[in-house]
Amino acid sequence: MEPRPALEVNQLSKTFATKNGPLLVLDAIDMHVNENEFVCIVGSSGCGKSTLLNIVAGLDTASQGEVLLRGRKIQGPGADRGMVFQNYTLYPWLSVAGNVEFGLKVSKVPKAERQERVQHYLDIVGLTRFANVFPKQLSGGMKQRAAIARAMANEPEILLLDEPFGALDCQTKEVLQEFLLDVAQKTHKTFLMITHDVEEAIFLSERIYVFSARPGRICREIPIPLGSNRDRTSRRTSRFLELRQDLTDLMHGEALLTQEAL
Amino acid sequence: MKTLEPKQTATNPDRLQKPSPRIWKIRGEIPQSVYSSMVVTSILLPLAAWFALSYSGLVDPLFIPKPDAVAMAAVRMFQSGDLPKDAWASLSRVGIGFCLSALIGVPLGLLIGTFKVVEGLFEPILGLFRYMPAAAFIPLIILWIGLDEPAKIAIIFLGSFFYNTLMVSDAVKFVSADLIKVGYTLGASRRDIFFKVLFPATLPNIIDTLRVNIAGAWNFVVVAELVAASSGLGYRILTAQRFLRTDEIFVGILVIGIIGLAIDFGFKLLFRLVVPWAVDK
Repeated sequence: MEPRPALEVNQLSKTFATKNGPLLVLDAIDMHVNENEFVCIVGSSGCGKSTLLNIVAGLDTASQGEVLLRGRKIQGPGADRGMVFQNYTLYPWLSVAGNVEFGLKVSKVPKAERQERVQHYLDIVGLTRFANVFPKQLSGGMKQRAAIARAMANEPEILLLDEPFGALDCQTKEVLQEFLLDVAQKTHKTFLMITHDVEEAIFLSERIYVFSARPGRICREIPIPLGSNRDRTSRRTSRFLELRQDLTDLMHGEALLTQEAL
Repeated sequence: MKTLEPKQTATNPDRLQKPSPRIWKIRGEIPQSVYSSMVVTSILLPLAAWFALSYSGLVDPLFIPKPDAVAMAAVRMFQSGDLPKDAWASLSRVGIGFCLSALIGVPLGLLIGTFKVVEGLFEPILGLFRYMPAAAFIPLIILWIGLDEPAKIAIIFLGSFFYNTLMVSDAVKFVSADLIKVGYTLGASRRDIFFKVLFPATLPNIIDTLRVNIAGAWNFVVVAELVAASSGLGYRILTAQRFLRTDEIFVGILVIGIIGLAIDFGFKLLFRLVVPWAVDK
């Protein structure tokens, strides 16, 4: 028997009330993320992928359907699902270490263990030297690394990433993608990430869900058979380029359909 | 085929910005020496005008007293003990009135900004009261509270409470929703979000709000001391008016200004100490 997936989304739909009547943004979404798997959702803006991630995080509610985390139905937000946002969301009044410690503090983790875990995760993201610095003194890439450490310090069952590198320049973005790949390989956590960057999705994931827009639907599920020993040179392999080409064409077709439908 | 003649291209000299003079660059930095000389000018110019007008004899000393007369009055009032006593009386009134207003206004403002229920309950009514001049309440306050200290404190309170509350509630609403969302995903309870996210995020604005509003409250001391006062800087000015002591009026106004400036500086210092992360430079 197949092991139960870490995250299951069953027949999930979301309708927004607008001035012109109800608007369907997510239509009967069925998907899952396995234990220790890295899954990406790609889609153009407006395809409802952020709404889906917010529902999984418990920050928004589904109109229909359900989200199960290790078989338990999700009722609201919780520390079992860590989230990293596109915008910089570090608390400016806390030091980098204070930010990483935040979730542990509200969960009443004893002080000794808190300090240990803060150190451990700062070490993983390579920010030990910046532990006592305020976020405003960090670069954009460092801010997102700190945000990832903060989400991971809670040791959630799944990490939800909402276009975490969307605001970064190309070079920093590539470095951070390699950093995240490294973190994923080292920590064996479960990841669900949203992006509209095709290359980023292929580079990081083991499986990709492609979304079509208006209403948001899963139009394709694509396994990425690049193996687990990837590094930055993987981007240049013919297998990678081929996958990128296919996915780009698919997304282009979807974007054209959406534009014409408007 | 006819092509469009490029008449107004970006390189057309008419459209190029002329280099602006350095000190008039919009929001531009200027040399510290230029800035300092501007500050000195802004103080010296009115002083020079005062000296010129009074010593030249162009203006009757009853209207504008001579600077040395004002200085003498200041020394006299200080030595007699009146000035320190008055300053203290005014300061304690504003201190007590404003502290009460902040102690109630800040928590209430935080709650208004956090919970829609509290907003509905308080914001419209406070918004209405804000536009009612506190000075107009003086007859009612005398009627309800009397003529003693509490009446003066009540006027200061009324003059600052609505502003404190509504400005703090606005500051809460400006806290980015992402900061709240991320708190929830880190396992924070609603209580945690209020005390560990909304409050610290708003704190710089709270300190700034208090700094701006205490200026208003400090100005109000003159109005508050219209009510049967026997001490205070406002009272001193009113008495001086009765005896046409323009020099003493000048001293009173100057002292009010200087104390106000000191309070402002105190709040700026507090800001740097309490919320160093929010300091711009």
